[in-house]
Amino acid sequence: MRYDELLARWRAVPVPDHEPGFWEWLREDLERGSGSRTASNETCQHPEVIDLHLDRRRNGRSPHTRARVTIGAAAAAVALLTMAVGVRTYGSTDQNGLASGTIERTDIAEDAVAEPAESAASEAAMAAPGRFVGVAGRVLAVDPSGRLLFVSVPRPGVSGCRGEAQQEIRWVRPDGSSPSMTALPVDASESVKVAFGSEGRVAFAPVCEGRGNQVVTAVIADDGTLVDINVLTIKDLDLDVPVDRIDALAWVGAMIIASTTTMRERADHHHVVKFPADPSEMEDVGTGERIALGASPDGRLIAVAADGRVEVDGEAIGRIEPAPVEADIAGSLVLAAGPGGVVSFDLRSGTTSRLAPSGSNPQMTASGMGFFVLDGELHAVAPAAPGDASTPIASLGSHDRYVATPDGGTVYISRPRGSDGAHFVEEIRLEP
Amino acid sequence: MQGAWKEAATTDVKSGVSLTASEPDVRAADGGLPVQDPRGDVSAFEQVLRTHDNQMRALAYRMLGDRFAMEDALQDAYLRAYRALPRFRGEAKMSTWLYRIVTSACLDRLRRNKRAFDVELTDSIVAAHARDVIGFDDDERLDRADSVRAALEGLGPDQRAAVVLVDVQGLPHDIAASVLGIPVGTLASRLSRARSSLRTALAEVPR
Repeated sequence: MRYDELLARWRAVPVPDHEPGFWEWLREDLERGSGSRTASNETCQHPEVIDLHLDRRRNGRSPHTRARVTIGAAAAAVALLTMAVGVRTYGSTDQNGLASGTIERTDIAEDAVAEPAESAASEAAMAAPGRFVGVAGRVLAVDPSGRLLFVSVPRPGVSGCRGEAQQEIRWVRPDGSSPSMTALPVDASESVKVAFGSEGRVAFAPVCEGRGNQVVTAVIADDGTLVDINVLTIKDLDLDVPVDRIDALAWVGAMIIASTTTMRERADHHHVVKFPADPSEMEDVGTGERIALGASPDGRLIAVAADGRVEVDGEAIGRIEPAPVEADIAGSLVLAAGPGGVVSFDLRSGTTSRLAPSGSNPQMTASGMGFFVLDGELHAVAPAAPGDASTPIASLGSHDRYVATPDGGTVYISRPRGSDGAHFVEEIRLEP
Repeated sequence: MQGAWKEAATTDVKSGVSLTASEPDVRAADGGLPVQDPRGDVSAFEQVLRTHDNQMRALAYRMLGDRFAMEDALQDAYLRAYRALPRFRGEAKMSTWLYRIVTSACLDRLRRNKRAFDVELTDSIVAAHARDVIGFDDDERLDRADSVRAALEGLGPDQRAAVVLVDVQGLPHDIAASVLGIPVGTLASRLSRARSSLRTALAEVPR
């Protein structure tokens, strides 16, 4: 390439317009005079840690919401249940030597920051609720190392699923730096299933209006960039047409496992298939609908079927009853939610434990910490210690989403910040 | 590159606005009459910003290569400008003054982030269309994007700013030197080194 050629192309690169809301937010900052991003500007790389009170204000949270939670915890294997959410943690040890603690969470909103006070006292009070990750995205997943947070962000001016702004996938480091500003070629405007495997493997299956037949695979390099990006179209093995839906996704070694559904003539065809990078080498490893797939620590395929069966390498080892509608698998534990409430299933013992009378959106982490949503509250629970009550750790609105890190020590919550499809991300650390 | 001052233009594909590197005097933008003094008037200042925003967006995006980084830099720069407005004595054109503040905000980011030039921009440079170039089925195109990115990343922030301001944005040397706060000779030296470095690196980019 010649230098003048480079310049011509550089000039020809389309310049993006502002995000919706840019001028409105700028005006607010100008009117406040000080500019509430001052602190972050001193430290920011992109994406930056955004000043808290600005986003609180944008989010319109009720002022001075305070919740006090007392937590009891047990189980040496999962001694995670003394948590500090946001600012202040009053930890102690109870008479049994078990950790316990009181959480005080303070949400500070618009009223509290009406004045651009710069005093140390007011800054200390405002800094209380913790950290916001400055990416305007909806959280999707955290990689197994806990280093990368995957989010979807609106692509201005491009229509996506359901006619809403298309969402593309980006990834950032939770510490505020970014290994790459690349966007993955996935429309995440509705939802995306994400699966991580060994050696940095990751796969995404976008869902649009309940449908999707593509899997995007990549490898997370040591520097946090994504390489070897491939887009695969998954076909039904019997019908030789693209499937209608991918119900569950997992890696087992270098193989992708997908549970697929193809609807034809009022009948659903379900397959569980496995394939390496090339889907033409797809193999059928089972029939029937699976709601969750995973890999055991020793590399065996774990599946939760729609009828509640729990399988290891295709063999049923137990059943969750009544059949759950959602499930997540990590290590040797399944966390499921459905008509029977939130339950865990231990693959080693084959036992089922009921953890909550109801709930949804279960997430199981490799550390043995589980999460689910109950009555608008995100709960943490240690399924291996079923005697422990679950612990509410944050309020979730209907459009809020969460992901937990594999070590169960941090939760990222994205909340809409307006009508533009953008979200901001809050980081909540759960300290042992 | 003086001739490029009036010629350098591109099109904002979304708004269809032509982005030119010419330098309108905002205070004379309204038929030569001063617009409302923006000092202390948020609305008036916003109008000033909007007048120059196309140029500033182009500058920030071409410097930083990412629309989110661009947004952050502009938010930062516009706030800085508002705070500094009482000290603006009108000795420079408003656009030059804004160029200086936006460039400074971008340089801050470039100096903090060694990987500032990202895939979004370089893919766009290679394929002229970022959306289609993530390029999972075109290894050669990806290789070229990587090579261009490596060439651009080989420039230091100061050299990069010089190239963007003069060769991409098309500012005259004296204006660009003023924006960067350096003598014209220093700018010429930086440009020479940057061009030489880029030419060498680009020679290795597959054609």
